[in-house]
Amino acid sequence: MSIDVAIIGIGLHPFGRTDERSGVEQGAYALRAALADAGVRWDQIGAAFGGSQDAGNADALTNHLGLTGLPFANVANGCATGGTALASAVAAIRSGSAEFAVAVGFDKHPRGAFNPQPRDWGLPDWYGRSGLMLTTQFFALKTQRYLHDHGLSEDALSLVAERAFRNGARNPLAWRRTPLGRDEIAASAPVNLPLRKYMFCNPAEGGAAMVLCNARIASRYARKPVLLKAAIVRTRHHGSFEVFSPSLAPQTVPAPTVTASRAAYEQAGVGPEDIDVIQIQDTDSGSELIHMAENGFCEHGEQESLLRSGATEIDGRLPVNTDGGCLANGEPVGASGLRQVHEICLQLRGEATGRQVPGQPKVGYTHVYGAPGVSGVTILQV
Amino acid sequence: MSTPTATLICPELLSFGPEGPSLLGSRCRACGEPYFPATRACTRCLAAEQEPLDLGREGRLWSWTVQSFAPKPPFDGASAEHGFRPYGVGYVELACGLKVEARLTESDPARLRIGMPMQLVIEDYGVPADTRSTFAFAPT
Repeated sequence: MSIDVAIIGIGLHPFGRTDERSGVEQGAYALRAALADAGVRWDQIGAAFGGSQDAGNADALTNHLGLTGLPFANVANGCATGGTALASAVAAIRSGSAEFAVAVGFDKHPRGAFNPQPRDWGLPDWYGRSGLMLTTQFFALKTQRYLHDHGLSEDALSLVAERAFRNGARNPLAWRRTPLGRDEIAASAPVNLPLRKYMFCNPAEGGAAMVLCNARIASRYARKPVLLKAAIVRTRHHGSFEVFSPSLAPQTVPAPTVTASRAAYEQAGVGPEDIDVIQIQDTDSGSELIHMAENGFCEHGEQESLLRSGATEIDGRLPVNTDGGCLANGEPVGASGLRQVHEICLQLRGEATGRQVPGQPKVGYTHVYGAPGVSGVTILQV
Repeated sequence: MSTPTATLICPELLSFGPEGPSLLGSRCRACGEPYFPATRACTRCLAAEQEPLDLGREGRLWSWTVQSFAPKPPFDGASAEHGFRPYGVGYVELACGLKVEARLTESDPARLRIGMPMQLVIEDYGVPADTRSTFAFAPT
C-alpha cells in the first residue's frame, strides 16, 4: 500500500452500564472525544462508518453531531463490527475519497444473554425453538473440542479470566475492577460446560470512536499519530467451525481469524515476534485461548504454559488484553472492536494509566471475531 | 421416546423406517460434499445442484456441553410455570464425516465423553411433557 493511514484521535465512553445515557448518546460522547483528541471538527469528516447491534442505526449520530451531508455507512458484522468499520474508514482514506474519516461503534444491550433470532441468520425456526441457537453453546462446544485436541486443561480457562480481571483492576476505564482468583473462577456456576460464569463476558454498554487521516498530514493533528500498517477483514470458508452451525463439514479448514491474521502480517510486513502489545477477542476464556494460536502468537496447546509463565501479563513478552478485554469491560457488540484499537493506541502513545506496558511498545495488534464467521485484524505502529 | 401426542417440530429433517428414524440431508452433485440440513447450493464448490442424502442414525460424540440456563425465546421448551431442565448439546460425527449439532438425551457431564457412540432418537423436549419433540442423540 502506498498510502499510510494514521489514527489522530481516539475516544471512549466508559463501558459497563450507564442508565442515564442511551446507546447513541454513548456513541456521540465517544465520537466528540475522538474529534477533540484530533483537533478536527465534525464538518471536516468526509466519510463515516459505524455500527450498533441493539442501540439503533449508527447514522443516527448525525442527529447529535450535525447534518453535514457526509456519507455514513451503517455496519453490521456482529462482534466484528468495529473491525469492519475501521477497515472501511482506512479504505476511504487510501482511496482518496475522504481527507478525514471516522469509525465509531456503540451499544446498549438488555440484561441477560443475547437472544439471536434464527430468521435473522437464515436459519430454520426449529433451531431456535429446540434451544440450539446460543452463542454461549458455540463457545463451549468449540472450547471443549479444542481442549481435547490439544491437551489443555480447564485450568487454562480460569487463568485467562484471572488475568483479565487482574488487568481490569488496574484500568480506571474498566467495568469489572475487582480481581478474582482462579479458584473462585473455577468454582463459579456452570453456564455451558466447560465454560462457567466468570469465564464469559457480559453484554454491556459503551461507545468508542477513532478519527483517521493520511499519515502525511497526521503530525499537524496528533503529537503521536498511530499508523495503521494493516486493517484486514476476512469471512469464513466452507469447513471452518463457526457460530450458528447446524452441522460442520467433514474436512476442517483454517478459521477466518487465521486468514485475516496472515493477510495482516503480510500487509504490515511484520510477524508475530514483532508485536509488543496485543488485543485478542475474549468473549469467553476459551475463545481467547484458541485465538492466541490462530493469530500466530503460539502453537496450539502452548497456551497453558504461556499463561502460567506470566508471558501474557502486562510486563510479559506477549501482553494480552492489558485493559482487561471483554471479560473486564463487558461486550457492547458495536463498540468492542474499537475499544481494542483505543487501548492499543493508548499503549503505543505511553498513556495507558495504571497498566502501561514497559519498554515503549512500538507495534500493536488487535483481533476481533463476530458471527457468522467474520474476523478483523489491525496492526498499529508508532 | 416421543408419544403420538408430542408434535415433531422439524418433520422435514427426518425419515422413519423399520429400524427407526434417520436424518435427511443433501449432497452436492458436483463435488459430493454432504449437507445438513439439506441445502440448495454448495458453499464449497459453488455448484447449485444437490441430491437428497440419507445421513443415517449412528455416530460418535465429537463435542458436547450442557445448557445450564433457560434460553430466552424463541426457545419454547421451558416456561415460568413449569420450569427448566438442563439439557445436553453436542456435535455427533456421522459415517460420512459430517458433524451434526443436536440436543443430547444425557445432561450429566460425568456421563458425556468425546468419542462415545450415539444413536438418533426423537426427544420430547418441552414442558409440560408430551407437547413438542425434536431429533436428538442418545448414548448407545
